[in-house]
Amino acid sequence: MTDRNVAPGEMRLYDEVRPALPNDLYRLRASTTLSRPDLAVGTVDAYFSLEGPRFALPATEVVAVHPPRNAQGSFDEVFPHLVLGRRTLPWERELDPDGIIPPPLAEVPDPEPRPLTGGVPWLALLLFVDDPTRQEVTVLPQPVPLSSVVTDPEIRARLRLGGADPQVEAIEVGAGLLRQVAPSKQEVQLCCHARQVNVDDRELAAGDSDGWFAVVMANRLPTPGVRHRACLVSLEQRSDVVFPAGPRPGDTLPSGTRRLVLLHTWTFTAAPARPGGGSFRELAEALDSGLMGAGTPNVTDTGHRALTLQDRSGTSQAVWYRGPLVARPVARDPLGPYHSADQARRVSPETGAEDISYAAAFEVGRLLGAADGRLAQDLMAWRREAYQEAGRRSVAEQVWSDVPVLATPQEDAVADGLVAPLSLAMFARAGAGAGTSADLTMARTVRSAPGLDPGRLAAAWNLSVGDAHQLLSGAEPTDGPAPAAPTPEENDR
Amino acid sequence: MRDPWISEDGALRERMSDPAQATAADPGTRLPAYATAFLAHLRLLVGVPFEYLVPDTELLPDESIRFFHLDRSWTDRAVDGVLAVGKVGSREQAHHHAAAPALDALLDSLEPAVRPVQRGLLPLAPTGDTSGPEISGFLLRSALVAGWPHLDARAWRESVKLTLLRLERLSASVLIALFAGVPDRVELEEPHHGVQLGVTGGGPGAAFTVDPRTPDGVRQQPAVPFPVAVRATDPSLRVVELADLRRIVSYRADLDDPSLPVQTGSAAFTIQLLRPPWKEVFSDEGRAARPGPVRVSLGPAVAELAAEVDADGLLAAADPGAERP
Repeated sequence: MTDRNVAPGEMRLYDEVRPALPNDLYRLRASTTLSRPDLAVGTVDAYFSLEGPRFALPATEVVAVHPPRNAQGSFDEVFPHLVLGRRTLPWERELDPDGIIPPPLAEVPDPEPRPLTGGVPWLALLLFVDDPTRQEVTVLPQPVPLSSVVTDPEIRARLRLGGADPQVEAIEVGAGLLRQVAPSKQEVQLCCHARQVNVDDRELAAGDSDGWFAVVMANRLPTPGVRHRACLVSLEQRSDVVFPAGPRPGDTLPSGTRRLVLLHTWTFTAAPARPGGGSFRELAEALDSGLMGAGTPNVTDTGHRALTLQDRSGTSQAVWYRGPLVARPVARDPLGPYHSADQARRVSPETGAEDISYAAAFEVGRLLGAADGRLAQDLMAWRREAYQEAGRRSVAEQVWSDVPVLATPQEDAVADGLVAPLSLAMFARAGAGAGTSADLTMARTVRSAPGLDPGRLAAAWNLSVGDAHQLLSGAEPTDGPAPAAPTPEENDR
Repeated sequence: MRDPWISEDGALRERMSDPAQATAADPGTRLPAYATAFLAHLRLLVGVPFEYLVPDTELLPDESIRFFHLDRSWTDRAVDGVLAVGKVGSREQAHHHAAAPALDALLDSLEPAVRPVQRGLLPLAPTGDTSGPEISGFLLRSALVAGWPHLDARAWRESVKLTLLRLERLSASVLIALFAGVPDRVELEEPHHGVQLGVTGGGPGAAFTVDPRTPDGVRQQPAVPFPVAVRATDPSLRVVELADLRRIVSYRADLDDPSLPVQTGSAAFTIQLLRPPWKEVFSDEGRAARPGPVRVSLGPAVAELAAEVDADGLLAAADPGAERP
């Protein structure tokens, strides 16, 4: 599978896109080969079953249908089709994997076309008239057991359900009609293809932005004037419904009714072409195009609409409002940011009435923001971070201005020895976001502690002042070299 | 009594002289990612209630398209409003005031990155374009929106394609599109994955036909249409004998006309049934509409690689005599 990108406006068509792993039961065997045969390691088996949609199709798999659901328009020259977001879906199962349905008989006078290769999809889109005047199909109102849909036991056996009998949605059609409407085996294959398109300029939709789609087309054209029902059905193993070729005049048509597993259905009405009708072209051509606010009676030529406002004092007044979508370019207001809605209220000089457009914008933003808990938390975190950052900055400045102060009284060996550890502690506290305090550096507190005053220590313990110095700072008692910085443990003494 | 480190007067003075007290470049002062994304989306009106966009139903009647310029002051105020959440005092105001210029520039540069985020392609990252260009767009209220999901919208100015900033359904029948710049031409195109397949003719008494198309989807000129047979058991059912049609196409492609796609499978067959997607063009010179130039190519077939021809499209097909662009 080449997975190249498609240019805008280009479309690439594929006969089929096979899934990497077909639906089946798988065994995963893990074994280890060792160079030493005496150390045997066992093999481990794991089983898993891969099962795609089979008897029901989630509506989310259907990306689009054409003609649109419940639309009315000139659809009588187009084959209805259904677009699947999962490109492999039609080829995940085979209609006739065992080749029960024979190839069509060669008609001698016609040259044979090139043979179709690849698998025959299990999906087909059937179109029926579903009008009050003529009803070709009945959608069963409730799910029914599969055994009542696939009545032939041989076919059921080939479905390999292992005795299960799931409930399925189904349609009921006259067998003779179905014989004429149902595609032949070859046609089922012709009706399915995969498309790769460019999705860069596309309206958003969840989950299908890879640009790959599978398309299932019907083989029948709508009849003008009546309502139709298109049904995506499963034809897996249905050799009682799918034949090598369509019926020829004179063939006896089967009688009775047949049921089919219904996967998706919608209705539309094919009407004669008319302007404003339901096709894309008709709708697009009938669009009323103009500038925002053009020709609207309630709106001034500047795009403002008069509203009645109940202001906070309770009086009602006429005010102007204009949304963000304007007919003419408007200069961007340079006076921001605004901190309250009232700041954005204006009075229009022509009418004297208030213009609340920007105030309303402010308020809707505030309400949207307040409604979102995570956003409010983010805003708080944003401010807190900024404040802390500012705090850290101030602390750093404070430290640098405090350090010389601490170091100034050279004789005070105690304070001198404390400079380095205290500075570190300050930075640590600032880094932890301690914020501001009166004695940020703690130097003053430390110095005022009685036990750290050498004079008092000397008096209390009957020491010389020099010994006290030495005890406190670890420095030489006499006038020696500058005392070394004590370690924090020494400080604790 | 401890000495206060800073006086109230001093704090106020500092606050006023240096509102942020930390520069916007500091890593700690950046708006968290979620809030940034929220604001970038809000700049493109994501989440704004519809009544605020269209205050009067007359502004956007049924089956209408309305073009507009985006009022950037309005979206700026909405952003201010969001940032007012939890703003209780002068400290928050000062902080917002200081951070606003950098934040505005960041949001301007994020606007073009929103759509890739919405499409799940890229994480939100500044684009480096902080010019904050004029934004314009259109609102479309039509059955087109509901009936043709994922329709394409493109805008040009002087033949340069404008960046699509937003293209999203606001409700089942209302679509909003925003472009970076003011276009002189806007195109609405039928989605390509929904390009229709069909036949022509089939009026009373007339047989259906299919026009031959070359492998790139262009209608052959001149061409002899292929006859299309309906199942003869009951022609009123209008069931087309697709296998017979393929036989005819295959015969001509193999024996008579090598310019037709070789009928290797369903993709080659589908080319013959293509109907060009409709493209509605709104421009300063008035409205023009024509089938759009879709380029078709065949992907590798199952059996062999079919011809992969890059070509110009169905335009010439539906518009006989027109030059290919």
